[in-house]
Amino acid sequence: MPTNHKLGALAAALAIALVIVGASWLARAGGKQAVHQKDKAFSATELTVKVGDSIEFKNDDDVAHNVFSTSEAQKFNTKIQPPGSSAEVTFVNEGTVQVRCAIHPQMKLTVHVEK
Amino acid sequence: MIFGAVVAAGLSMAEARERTLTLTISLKTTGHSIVFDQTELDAPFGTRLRLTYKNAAPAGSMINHDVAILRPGSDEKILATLQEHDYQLDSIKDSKDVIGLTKTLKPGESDSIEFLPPTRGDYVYICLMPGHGDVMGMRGTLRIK
Repeated sequence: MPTNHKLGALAAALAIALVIVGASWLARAGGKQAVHQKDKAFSATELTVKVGDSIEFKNDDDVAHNVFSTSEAQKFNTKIQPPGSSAEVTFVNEGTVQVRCAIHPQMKLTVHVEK
Repeated sequence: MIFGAVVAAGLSMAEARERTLTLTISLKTTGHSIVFDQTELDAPFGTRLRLTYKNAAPAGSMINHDVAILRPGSDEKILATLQEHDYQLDSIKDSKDVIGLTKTLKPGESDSIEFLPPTRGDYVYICLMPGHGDVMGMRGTLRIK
């Protein structure tokens, strides 16, 4: 029946819209980048992420690291990371976050967090 | 402890002050820890102090440390200045709030600070390496009574 066809088309359109919105939301909220710690250096010196994105700090070195930030936009401290371990940080505020290692002062990373 | 050192030297506190005895405080950090081995110290007012610090971290750890003695109540201001200047010690080392500051010490190295506390009060001693005193809690209190 024509009415059933219309309802079916409407339901299909609604389902497609939900999938698109959901995928978009997941992409926005769940973005994750990896930063490696190797040879007592970060694999990047500057990164840009969206609010809600995460960075996974992977210790690929044979020594311990301790990633932290005292920036107003995001204060965090992963505490001691033994070799082979990872720590994930989610950036919840817009701004610039200066990231360092408490054990190796030469290790520096600037994270720009955008809306 | 300092009072113990005075007693061990066979002096009363008054005698110690009269003789301007220099008392030695020994601090160290061991292993990969980023804390001092002592977080509370006491000393009598009017006595010259020598604070000796040894960085006993493992040789290959690359964990450097230093120790600063800060005027009572000034620690937050000093740390804020340091953070604003990317932890450059030049930004605070000439401040009147910094009573003394050791060299930056590699594992195995030692240094001393000599000072006469100008007032009674709680002096913070703290490592000013990035993240050590402000994030990891590498600090303690020297009570001058």
